[in-house]
Amino acid sequence: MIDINRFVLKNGLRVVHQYDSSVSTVVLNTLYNVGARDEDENRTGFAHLFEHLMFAGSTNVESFDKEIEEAGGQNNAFTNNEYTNYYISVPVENVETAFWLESDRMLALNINPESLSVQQGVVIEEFKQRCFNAPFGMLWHHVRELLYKKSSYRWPTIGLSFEHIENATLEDVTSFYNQFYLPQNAVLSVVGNLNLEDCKSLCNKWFEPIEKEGFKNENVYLDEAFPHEKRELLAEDLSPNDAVFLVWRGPSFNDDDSLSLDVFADMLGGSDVSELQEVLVKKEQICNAAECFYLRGLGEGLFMLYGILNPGVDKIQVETRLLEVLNSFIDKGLDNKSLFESTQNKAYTGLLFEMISPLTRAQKLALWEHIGDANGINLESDKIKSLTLPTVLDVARQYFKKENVSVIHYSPKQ
Amino acid sequence: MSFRNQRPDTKTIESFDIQDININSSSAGQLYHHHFTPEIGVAKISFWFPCGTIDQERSFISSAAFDLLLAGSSTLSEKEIIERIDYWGASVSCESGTIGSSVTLRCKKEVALDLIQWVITHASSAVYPEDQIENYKFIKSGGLERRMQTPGYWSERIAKEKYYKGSKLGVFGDLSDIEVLTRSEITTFHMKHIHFGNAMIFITGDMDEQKCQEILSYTDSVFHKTFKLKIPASGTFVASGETSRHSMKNSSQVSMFMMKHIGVIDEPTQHKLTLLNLMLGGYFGSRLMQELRENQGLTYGIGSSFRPAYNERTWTVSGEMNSTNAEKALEETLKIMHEFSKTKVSLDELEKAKRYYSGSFRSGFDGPFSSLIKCQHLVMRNLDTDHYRRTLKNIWETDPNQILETANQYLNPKEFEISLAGDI
Repeated sequence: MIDINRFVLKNGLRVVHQYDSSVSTVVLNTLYNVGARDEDENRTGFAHLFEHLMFAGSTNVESFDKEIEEAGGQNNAFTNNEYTNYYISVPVENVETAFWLESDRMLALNINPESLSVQQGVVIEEFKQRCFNAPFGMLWHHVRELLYKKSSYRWPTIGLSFEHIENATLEDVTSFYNQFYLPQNAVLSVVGNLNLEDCKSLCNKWFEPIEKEGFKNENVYLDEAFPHEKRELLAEDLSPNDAVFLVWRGPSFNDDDSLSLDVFADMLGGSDVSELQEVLVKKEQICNAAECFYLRGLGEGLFMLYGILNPGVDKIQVETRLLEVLNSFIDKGLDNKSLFESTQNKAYTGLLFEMISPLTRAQKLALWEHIGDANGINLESDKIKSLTLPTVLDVARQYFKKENVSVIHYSPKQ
Repeated sequence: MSFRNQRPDTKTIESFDIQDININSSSAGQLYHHHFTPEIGVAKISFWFPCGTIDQERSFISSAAFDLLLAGSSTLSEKEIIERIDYWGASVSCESGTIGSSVTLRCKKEVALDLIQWVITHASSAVYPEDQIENYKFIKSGGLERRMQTPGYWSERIAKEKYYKGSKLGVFGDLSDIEVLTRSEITTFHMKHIHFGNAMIFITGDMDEQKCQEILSYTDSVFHKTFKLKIPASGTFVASGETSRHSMKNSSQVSMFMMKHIGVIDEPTQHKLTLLNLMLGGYFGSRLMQELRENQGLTYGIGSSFRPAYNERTWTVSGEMNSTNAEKALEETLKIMHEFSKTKVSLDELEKAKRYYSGSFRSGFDGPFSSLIKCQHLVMRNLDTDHYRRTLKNIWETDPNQILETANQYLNPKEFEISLAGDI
């Protein structure tokens, strides 16, 4: 259990504070409620491109990184389909520098043709590195293309193609900033060796005067029904082996079923002696990797079950066996009681380890506050402990039907 | 809001109170490190063995011996061993290094002693079942094949094989090495090298003195020999003088890898090199990152770092480049490297690197498990326990003249082996 303080500034910026005197640093984590799902289908990859531009300096800060580094701090950011997250970690002596920098780029970013052009080049190289030069690099393009037909979840964060990045104009990015980079559309978490009084005082000085017109992102998206038919895709990509990916759409982070699917995934494939490993890799030797995971998204989640094939093995055979292993695992029912308890124990220990890092705490606090209440962080362990095996299995039965699975058969690019 | 024009005062971190990094000896004579952090509820306990790839006859034997350490013992199957560990909510990771390898346990504090006893019992009597070895070959080959499809793998491998020719530092395992792994050679490696009674023990997290002594009293019962790393003699290596170019189909970038060996150096030189490396490519504000990424947009990431080469270092410069401009990027990189030995760095640039380093250095001591890595570093490099107390003093005393001298001595681009791989 961690002690949290929450307050809202007059401009609508929500702040979560947690004091930790055991560390020498303070983390400022800013979450903006904007992600790839907010993009136009002809301008994908925009939220991520914008993340890069946020380091280009602002009206009063010529070089963002230079100032952070001179303060002995570090910073970075990431973007996903649903939000964009920035963090700065600085020595406590220089915490005001972090407030200055983070607030100044919220107030008035310096968007100019030069920085846009350079960052377009950088992001295109990132696109090539991640998507073209890494095995299964285009996987998320294929997955999303198959799962969604209309929704703005149908492209990955990096964008549909790098031409969209190349074509971004100064007007486009300026309008994106004006629409989404508002105090009322953000959450700031402050974690580390800074007491509440000083935190409030710095928030009041640096963030509260920022007033911007606009609205909090209401996150209203095209509601695309779950598929009622099996969907299939044949894909070629950089990969030494054939592979089969099975994907189902699932409940959102806030839905309790989401945690059940997370735990289920860990039971089925989260260990060296998991059912998937034991059957498909070790006993039948048809795969050299067989795993699964549940991606707990804020809008909805994705359950992925996959096998990377050993040479000469048939993809249809692996698809069939993946489904059979999944179903027989569910059918084992209460026979898996001990495995379920182990998985609960591992999840609980995992949470204890996660909470040690101030950066992880800051990121989780901002996320929990964004979805409703930062105190959610303190309820995570109780939620894990209160899960029961019958509930987890019921949820799995509800979501995993072979009639609505999306399947990708991967082959090495020739 | 005119106050925004004024940058808030920033303070430099020139010293701070560093807790002792203790290295003690148990009653039986085993080296151990203990760092207690109350109330966090978890512990991280690591066994560090004085063995690794340097001891193997062929590639992958050491990693197989560690990776399969819990794949079956004289009394239990892998499934039975792992299921118990999982039930405790714990995890165990095994890692094979060059001269040192480790088995690290993460768990709730209540189960730490049981877990240690369990792991030592079954890892000590590991039997390496044939079927597990066969599975391991599939898994390991799959992973290696995937890595082999990236330009980064080949640029590094080609440069290292050429530069470290004749040394184990330049040996890269192939798929054929995995294929011919045998139970007998893995078992022989285990019997010869993996003995928990030879390992240095790191006990960190929520483990008080009493718990620590309980652990030591158990590990003393298997004590065999006091931990001592085998440090190989330093070699002399010379760059080929030619840039290797490896063309890969289906690639859309060019990976650049440059490297040289840095042998035995004294402590002040180490700190000067740290600063020089930072300014070259060691952080976002470095010349490589600023020029090639932020000014020219030629790469998503480029950087330089020191990687361990036994207890010495390999200095590397690497990045994935836009293929149309790869040669230009290489030329630019060489120019930037050369510039350090031609012209003194400015006081501002050096000051910024010092400030950045000092902040990172201090935050590196935060957290309940940080002392584990710091302590291993001291042992690996044979440094005394006051080393960290002298670090910031050395850093802040370094001036531009010393950086120029250091660059002239160590940063000659001609001494770097260079390799390009990908869309060439």
